[in-house]
Amino acid sequence: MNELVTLKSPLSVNFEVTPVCDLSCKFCFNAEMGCSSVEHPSFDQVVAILKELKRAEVFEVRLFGGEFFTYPEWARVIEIADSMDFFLSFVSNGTHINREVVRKMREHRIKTGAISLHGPESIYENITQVPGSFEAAISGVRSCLEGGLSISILYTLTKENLPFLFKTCKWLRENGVGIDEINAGRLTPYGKAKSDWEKNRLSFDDYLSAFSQMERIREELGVLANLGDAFPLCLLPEKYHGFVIGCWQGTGFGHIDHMGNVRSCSIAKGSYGNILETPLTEIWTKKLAHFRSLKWLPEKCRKCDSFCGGGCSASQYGGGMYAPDEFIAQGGQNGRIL
Amino acid sequence: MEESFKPRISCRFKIRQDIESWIGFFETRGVLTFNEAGAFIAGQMEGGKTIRQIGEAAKDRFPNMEDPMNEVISIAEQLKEAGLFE
Repeated sequence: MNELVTLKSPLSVNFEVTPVCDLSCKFCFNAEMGCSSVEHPSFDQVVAILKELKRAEVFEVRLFGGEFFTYPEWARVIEIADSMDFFLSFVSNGTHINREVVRKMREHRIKTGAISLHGPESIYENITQVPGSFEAAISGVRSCLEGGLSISILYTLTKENLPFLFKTCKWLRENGVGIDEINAGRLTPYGKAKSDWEKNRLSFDDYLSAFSQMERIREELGVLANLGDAFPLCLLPEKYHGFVIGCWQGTGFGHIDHMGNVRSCSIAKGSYGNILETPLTEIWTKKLAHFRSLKWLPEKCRKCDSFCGGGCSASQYGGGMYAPDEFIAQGGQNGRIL
Repeated sequence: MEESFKPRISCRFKIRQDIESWIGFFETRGVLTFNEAGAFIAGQMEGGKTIRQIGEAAKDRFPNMEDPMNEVISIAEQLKEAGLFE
């Protein structure tokens, strides 16, 4: 039977420095917290969490939100995290990034980051519900690229933006925004996307359409396009297997929220414990045993020779902290196992 | 690989002792696992020491190691294959 390895702590974490965000994305998985109405955590609390991550010998901290760059003391966070010798990266909506922000990041050894861009201008701003946010995000991407940062674009797939994945990449290329990589993300039933899920969720055929566009992006635009999340490979034509990055949650990857709560996935809710109360190594080695046993997955996944993790554990409606992939739960897209 | 070659891992990296192995994190490149001796040897590959010098250091650290030089060359070749040398 397959099972996941236990490491003493994550190798890489998304650290939600602040839950605050100034965009209002229609599908935001974090919206249950009220991104625009919550308060920033204190700097002391942020530092306390970083110290615990250091103590657990986490290698990489991906500065995450909310929107990390809305945090008033984001520059001090970068300084202190660098002084702790973490490998640093960021996940951002890009709208606050300019040349000076990039300079600060480079000064503290940040080389890579990910910026969300969920479609062409009209689609994107219909999603973010903030006029001018597209131009601001593009400006942020340009600043990063001009400053020598390597940027991957995050494109959360929705019914609305699905037809525009290739076109968005083409637009970026035609407008001199030379990205190397785009990662499409799965829409998951958490936060705002949870409401009206049956109407909003993407079908299996929708994902096939996305993979087809990723193939064109690679072939015609020379940009590395992937699905940035997990997907059940047994359901997917083999030619697309190399397009699935997969997920290493609960083994090498973890998520720490702004209060210090530990999760194995940035999207799914809940907490395995709080690192301001219990050492991360204790939480990581003891509290995820059931998750790593994979006993919650169908037997065919646990026995599979080409184990892919069983797809995305945050994709099923009502799945809590983890559950089998929504397409596996449906019996393999009407029983069609390829 | 010549014993006078000074292997240098071309990216920032760190290695930690984990539960069942040593884990190396190589910036923007990925993750590799090592045994204790392998972690020690890889940690020496910062460009300042030759294969021979690293082999001698490994022999001092792990007196029971049968063929330290061969071990160093083997790890250097694996890291080279992983694209971690310039």
